[in-house]
Amino acid sequence: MSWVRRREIPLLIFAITFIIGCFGYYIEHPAMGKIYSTLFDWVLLMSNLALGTGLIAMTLYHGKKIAKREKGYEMSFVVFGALILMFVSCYASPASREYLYAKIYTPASIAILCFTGFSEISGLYRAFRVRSVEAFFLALAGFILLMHFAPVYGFFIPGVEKVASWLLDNPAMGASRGIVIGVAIGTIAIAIRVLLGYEKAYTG
Amino acid sequence: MSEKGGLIEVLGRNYRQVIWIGVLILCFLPAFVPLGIPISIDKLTIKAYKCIEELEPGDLVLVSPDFTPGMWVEVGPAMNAIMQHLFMKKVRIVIVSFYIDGPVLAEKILREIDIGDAKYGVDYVNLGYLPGMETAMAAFVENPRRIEYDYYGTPVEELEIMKDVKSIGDFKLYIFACVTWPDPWIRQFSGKVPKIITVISPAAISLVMPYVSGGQLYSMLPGTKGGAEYEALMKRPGVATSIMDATSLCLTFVMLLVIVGNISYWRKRLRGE
Repeated sequence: MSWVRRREIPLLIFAITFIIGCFGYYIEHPAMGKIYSTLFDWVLLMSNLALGTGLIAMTLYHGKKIAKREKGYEMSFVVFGALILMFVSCYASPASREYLYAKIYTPASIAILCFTGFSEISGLYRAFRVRSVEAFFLALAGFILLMHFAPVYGFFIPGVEKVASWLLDNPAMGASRGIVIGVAIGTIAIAIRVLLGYEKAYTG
Repeated sequence: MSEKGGLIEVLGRNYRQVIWIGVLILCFLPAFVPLGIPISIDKLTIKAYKCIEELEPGDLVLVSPDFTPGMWVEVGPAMNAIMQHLFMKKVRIVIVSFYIDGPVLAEKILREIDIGDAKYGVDYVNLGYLPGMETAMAAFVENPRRIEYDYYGTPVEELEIMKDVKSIGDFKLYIFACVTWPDPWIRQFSGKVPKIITVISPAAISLVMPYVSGGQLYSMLPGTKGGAEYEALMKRPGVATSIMDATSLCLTFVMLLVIVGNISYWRKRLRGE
């Protein structure tokens, strides 16, 4: 009976929820609407529970790391410290929660992300080395878009905006449309494969 | 330096120190010496501005600040500008987040702008975070009253603003800010609200443009650049405008570096090195 538990039941659950989700969107019937709405409530409930399982998984991971004194285990104490501090502040004092979030977490996150700017510029410098005709056109398009995003050029050289807009509205948009259509077709294909039972990886 | 072949040769090599120090100085310079570099305004920013300008006082607008605090510099100042305009127009604002950091970022926006005499629960509300990403969006679109408590734990029935929110169709405009693939927001909200405007990272512009030309998205603000343009339209220069000074300087520096690097490369190549 283990094959039933492993394959057929998850497939059946998927098929039922798929059909409700798909037809519930198009069919305006009170009964279908109620089922559709209830399904959403379940999903939201599960999403909330998933946050809890994430917390458990994180606690287990860092707990094991400390217990085994693995490399960098000291930082796991910081994780637990921050977790407890945030948790307590949420219930004990909303003002301190705002302070922790606005004055510590947000600036720290911004600072970390800002480092990528330096690396990106360093990478851009190497990427725009004109070694071939293709690289020349890449660098040229890149230059025009750099000028587009530096507002001063658009003000003094209006033509730059027009060329950059053309690049974004035509070649870039064409490529993006291709990606969007490709992703959409791929998603439908995967959904059909799952529905027909060809895709079984999600059943574990 | 002369031993190594002059300044161009030195810069031509991949000297990260030059890039990092240069970018650092140029980022800090406008903070101490505001340059007031002129800004050209994109047609999509004007379109977004006019859309909000046409709203009537009391109209309901839905806003989702769906990004992480780290991405604040990319889209936060633009959200500040657009939210400032919404409060100036005295529309009623419902904030709902599909990212876990959204509610706190909404609070940050509300702290940083001038909300005038707007009252919480009457003129604006922060409904907090709805987990589940795209499914949560679909659930909210299906029934916005699904959320029973706001961010502060107040029952939604007690909030005056929510008495007029019966379905997603009650909103005149939806504004979302994101820095990733914008498809989920567009997929779920397009056709359900009359107009959608996005504040998006410049890196994702090419992903958004097909939806703008197709009409699913009414307009977009390309990150902080869009924010600076918006501030110029409102005639209220703010953080976005000052960031644009640094952006213009840094990108000019990058272009100069690329030119110098290429001159050095081609000199070496022509010499047969």
